[in-house]
Amino acid sequence: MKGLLVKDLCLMATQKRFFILILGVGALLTFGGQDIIFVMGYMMMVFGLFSGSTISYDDMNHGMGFLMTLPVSRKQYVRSKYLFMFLMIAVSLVVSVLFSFLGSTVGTVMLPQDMVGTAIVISAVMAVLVSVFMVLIFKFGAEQARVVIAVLAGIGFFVAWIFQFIGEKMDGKLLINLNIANLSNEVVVLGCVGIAAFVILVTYIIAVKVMENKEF
Amino acid sequence: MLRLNHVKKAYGDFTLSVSMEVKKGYITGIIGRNGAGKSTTFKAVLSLIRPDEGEVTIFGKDAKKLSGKDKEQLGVALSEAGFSEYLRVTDVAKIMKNCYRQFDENVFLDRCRNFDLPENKQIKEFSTGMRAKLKVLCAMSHKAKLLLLDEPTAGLDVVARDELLDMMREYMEDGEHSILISSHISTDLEGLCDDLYLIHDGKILLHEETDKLLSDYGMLKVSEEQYQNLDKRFVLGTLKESYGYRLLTNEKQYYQENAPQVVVEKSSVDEVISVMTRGE
Repeated sequence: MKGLLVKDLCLMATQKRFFILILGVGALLTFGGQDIIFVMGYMMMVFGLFSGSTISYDDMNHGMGFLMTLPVSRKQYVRSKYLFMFLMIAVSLVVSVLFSFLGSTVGTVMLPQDMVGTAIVISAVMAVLVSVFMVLIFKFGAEQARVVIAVLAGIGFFVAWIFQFIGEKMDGKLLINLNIANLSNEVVVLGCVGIAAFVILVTYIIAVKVMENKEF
Repeated sequence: MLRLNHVKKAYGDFTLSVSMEVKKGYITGIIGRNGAGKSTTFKAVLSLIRPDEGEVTIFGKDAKKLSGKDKEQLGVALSEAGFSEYLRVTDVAKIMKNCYRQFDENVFLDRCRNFDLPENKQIKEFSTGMRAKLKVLCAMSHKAKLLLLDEPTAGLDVVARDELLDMMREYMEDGEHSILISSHISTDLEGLCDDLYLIHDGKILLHEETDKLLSDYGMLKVSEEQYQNLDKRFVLGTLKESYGYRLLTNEKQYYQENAPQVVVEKSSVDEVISVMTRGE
């Protein structure tokens, strides 16, 4: 599996200009006074999505079939992609936290009250989004996955609109009131991490099943 | 080393149906036209497809259940697939080093230099021949017991082809290794393989030791009249020609001794393929 991670790092190295550009954009946004939560999310999303893109790189010219002849199982292949995703998110987290502190030192950034909690929640949300993206690539391939994501995003917006519409009609008398505002930061952070871990685990299990049933 | 036992796989109107064996110390060739089922056979061996029936065993184990350690003993070059085209030879070396314990980076890079493969160019900039060389060098770089080479010489010039075939011969010298190799270029396999499988339309039409194929097999050229009176017990295939018939036999000597009026010629593997695939 180490070989697969090395492969992904080598692929990443071939895109070093792109990553330098993203770091530059991140730095500009941070020192330009942009909301640091947005910058963190942006960096993690771009870095994280690259781990999904490596699946497309592998699959190009039937390359996935060849990779399956290496001394790795299909499960290990999926695991390597998830590990790479965590690695990418961790790297972008470190970089964006560094930017935040530098930005706060020069006075362009207002750090959130609970910096650690905020960083953890953003990382968890991004890991969920990327893992859903990855499982869609495993299932449908990169091209179709984009279409599926667009459709899912459309459904998501529609559901959100329905909820907003119902909320307005109910005039504040919602049937369910989670009262998140009353929960402590620690509980919210732990809750987010727990839900994220569950969703990531489910996507991982689905991705392994998809890979094990694939023919090349 | 490798056994395919009544392996079947259907794709629409094409069905692969093969049984074959690669013995220890043997170079076994699969020869057939494009689309005959050579690559599908390799995919079945490597569990890249799930056969509908039959079983594949490698090193005596179910091919689907090979461990990472077992897979380290396989050296694979596929005709249509390889490492990502965005990688360089130096990247490939790093990856192989982290995949195979027996991989010797220095030897690999030396061989790449000998075959004029640029270390720092992306594979997408390689010619077809350079890609083919890299695939074979990868397969032979980690002291695998069994090499599975699907069309490894496709796109290679004569010199590079000879060099690779020589490397394969050298690889076999200790008698501990085996190779399953496919090609649609019969001359590559004639001089290399111990035995040959002829595959056509997904089925094995012929399996024979190469020496026997070249020494005992022959072509009989007969007129219509000679054909009617000929003892056809040792005729494997018949092809209608303008002068009469061309017949493939696996007992050339029998006809030389018992039918002196018949023209008996030595057969090349190409002719065997031609009669077996086009004839009756």
